[in-house]
Amino acid sequence: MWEASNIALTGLVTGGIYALLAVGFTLVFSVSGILNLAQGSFVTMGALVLYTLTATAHWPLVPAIAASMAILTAFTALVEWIVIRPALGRISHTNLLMLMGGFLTLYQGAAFLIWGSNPYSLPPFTGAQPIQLGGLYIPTQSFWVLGTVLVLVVGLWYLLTRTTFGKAMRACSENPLAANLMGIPVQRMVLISFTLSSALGVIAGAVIVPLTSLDFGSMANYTNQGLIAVTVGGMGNFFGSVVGGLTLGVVEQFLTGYVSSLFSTALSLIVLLLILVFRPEGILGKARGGRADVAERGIGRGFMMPRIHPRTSRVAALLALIGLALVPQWLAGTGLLRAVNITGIFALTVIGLDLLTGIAGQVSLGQAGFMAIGGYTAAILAMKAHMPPVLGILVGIALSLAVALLLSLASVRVRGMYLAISTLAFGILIESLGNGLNITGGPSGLIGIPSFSVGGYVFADDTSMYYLIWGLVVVALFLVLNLIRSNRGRALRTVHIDQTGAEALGVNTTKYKIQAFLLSATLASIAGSLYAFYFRYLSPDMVGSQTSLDLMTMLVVGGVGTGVGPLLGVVILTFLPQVSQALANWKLLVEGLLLVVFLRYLPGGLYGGILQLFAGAVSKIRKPPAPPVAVSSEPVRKEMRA
Amino acid sequence: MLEVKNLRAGYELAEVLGGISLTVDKGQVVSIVGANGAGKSTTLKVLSGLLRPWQGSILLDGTELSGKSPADIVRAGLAHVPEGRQVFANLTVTDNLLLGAYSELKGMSHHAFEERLEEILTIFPDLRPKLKAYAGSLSGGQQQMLAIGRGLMSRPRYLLLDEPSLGLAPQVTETIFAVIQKLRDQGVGVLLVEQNGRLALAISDYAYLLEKGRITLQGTGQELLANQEVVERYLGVGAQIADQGGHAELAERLKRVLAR
Repeated sequence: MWEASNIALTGLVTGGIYALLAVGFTLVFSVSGILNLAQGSFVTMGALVLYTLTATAHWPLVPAIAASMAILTAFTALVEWIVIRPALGRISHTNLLMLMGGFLTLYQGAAFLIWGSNPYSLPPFTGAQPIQLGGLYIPTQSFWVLGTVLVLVVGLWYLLTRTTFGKAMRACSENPLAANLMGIPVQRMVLISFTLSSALGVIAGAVIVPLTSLDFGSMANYTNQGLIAVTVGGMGNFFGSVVGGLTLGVVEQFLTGYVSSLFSTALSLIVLLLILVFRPEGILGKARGGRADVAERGIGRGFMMPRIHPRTSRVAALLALIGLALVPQWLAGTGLLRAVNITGIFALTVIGLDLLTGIAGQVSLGQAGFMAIGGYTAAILAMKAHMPPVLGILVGIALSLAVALLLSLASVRVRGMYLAISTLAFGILIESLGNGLNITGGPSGLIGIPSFSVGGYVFADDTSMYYLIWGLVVVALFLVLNLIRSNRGRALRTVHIDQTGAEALGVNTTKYKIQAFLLSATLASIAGSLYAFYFRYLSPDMVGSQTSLDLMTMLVVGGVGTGVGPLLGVVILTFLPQVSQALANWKLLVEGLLLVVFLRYLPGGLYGGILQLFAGAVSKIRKPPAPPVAVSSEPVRKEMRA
Repeated sequence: MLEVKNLRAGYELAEVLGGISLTVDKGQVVSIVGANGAGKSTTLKVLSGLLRPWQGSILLDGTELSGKSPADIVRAGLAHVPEGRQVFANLTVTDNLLLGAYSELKGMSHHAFEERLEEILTIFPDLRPKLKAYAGSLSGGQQQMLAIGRGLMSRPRYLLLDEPSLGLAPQVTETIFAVIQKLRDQGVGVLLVEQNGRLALAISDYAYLLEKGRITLQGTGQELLANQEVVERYLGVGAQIADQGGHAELAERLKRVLAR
């Protein structure tokens, strides 16, 4: 009895924090349509800044909280003003979702560089002695948490429902155009929602940090929990978010207490997936109204990729093949071949991801989940059942295909941003299974996986693995490039550009989407297996949700939908951090920055940029540029966001 | 007087308005007719500040509006009721009307707000029993009334109406058009864009024909209605047949209503 009460209390406290996170998500989402994946980072960032101010600089608590809130909200406002405001209405909501994922990575990287990987905690506000009521132990800090949550929730409720300002805010969320016409400053409302939600995060971090310990890695956890809470409650539904957060906290604690933490995490993620697929408006959400613009892929100017002359590309391909064949000779003795091989493994996955996301337009933020399935399956079968690696890889592919089929069914029901979150949840689910199951070796992973071998030949050294991995990369790239230029590839593109239009033309979009999912999962699964055999070691964080975001960043940086381009992204984000520890430390920060910059300013990625430069140079040599068509004496102004 | 001079505007590189000029005086109903894509709605968007003009001036009783924000333009006395009603579906009718007066709410007493609300309810008595209902639950006609009422909450001297009869039953259209006439009599200048050109011209004091972003013809509503080319190209072939019943009859009934 007392045990259950203690668990319920812990659940309420954790749930209170989740509720604040969910409310933060809801505020930003309803005003701007953006799902702010960086929401969780404010909790940790706020706590870390608070730690520095109180424990290192010896500030008193209250001014320290105020200062950390001021610093982080000011930074958020700056980010909104410089990056998000100009992006709103220009790039699709799915890309905005990834953009916010980029900010999450950026904050993680910054926290890692500033505070390192140690967890930090603070003393409770009012003494460490808990209050005892029978068998119920109440840490005094939990009063602070629950009190803060109560005050904030009631205050926000009053603001949103009882004041004209709040009603104007809700009006922006429903119909930005009409709100604009009423004279409501929509852009300012978006700014306010962002700063308000970051302030909520900072306060949540300040009151919870004495009860837990936070490091740069906890940002993603808080984002995930807030995401689950807000999805259960209904995005844009204020009370739903509060109830969703509290419920998640209590249920999580009871399941962790009486069953296992794995069961609790897995169950909440499965519930999240089911809700996203079958009831995206949330369990407590209303079916009526809401933002319709985020479900379908939104605005976005098409990026015109300059075409390379077939002869040029054939020569380039031939040279590249010869170059690839000679790489082991060049790098002999430098120790760099290992990094090249790892780059190849990721290249294999990213080629598949480009087909799925770049060509077919189905954004997957959980692609590393398939690497995990392929890797663990092959490794476990080889270690425990002594199965030949090739057979293990095939079983891994079969399993990945089965899972990919399930996930692709989600893509039949949900589109755009909701699909992206579903795949994100899938990736986290697989990661938590890797962490929680015994057979996968838990967080420390599987050690002593045999090397890859076919028949009697063992691929024991870097050179043999090089030819195996890069041979597969060449084959996969060849297949995908051919596919892109076939009728099937064109059909996949129509699914990307306008699904409804494609259906109207008689394209079986369901079939093509499922095919793209299956093919990309196969490549990821093979890559995952090779990863395990090559390293002879596999841990959940090697193929976790951060890796999924890494893969997406490589794709975006290289050039979404360009076939060859993503390889450039893989080289930058895999090879460089592998060869230098200094670069590895900066990896998260740089990666987040690159994701943000490329999504926002360089839709064609590096490859598109290079081709454009090249095409520009060629056209200048060949013929004088055509005189620009005079449209206006003034610079062309863009339509204001309505 | 709302004076638009040599207005040029467009999206990205595509020019939509190639230098149009028009005037709306207070107590006047002025129509813009033209084919789809001629730039009718774009004109209204530019006037209300949703789209920045490339060139030209928009003078409202002598004040330059060009380049100002929608909020400033509402405050200056020009309201825009957009196409497709665009009510806030998840807010109540009262809240929708409240937000209509958003630009002036600071410093407005509760009493003053109630007074304005009462004005709107006098114009649209159908909204009175629905004040507490969500706007999304109203019928199409009621939503259009709400949209116009919301636009009137800022007590504009000039009103831009985009397709107010779109998708409405003839009887509701009649009510809406009667309100337009009533507003004119109260001294409001109305700039009307209507797909139902015949009906619009019938009640217009003055009208402009917009073709590919340029004004190609202007005159009183009756003059345009009498123009054979306009009738054939924009009011539909077989207009003579339509004259036998339908809109012509409706326009007649309207005139009778208004004569009372």
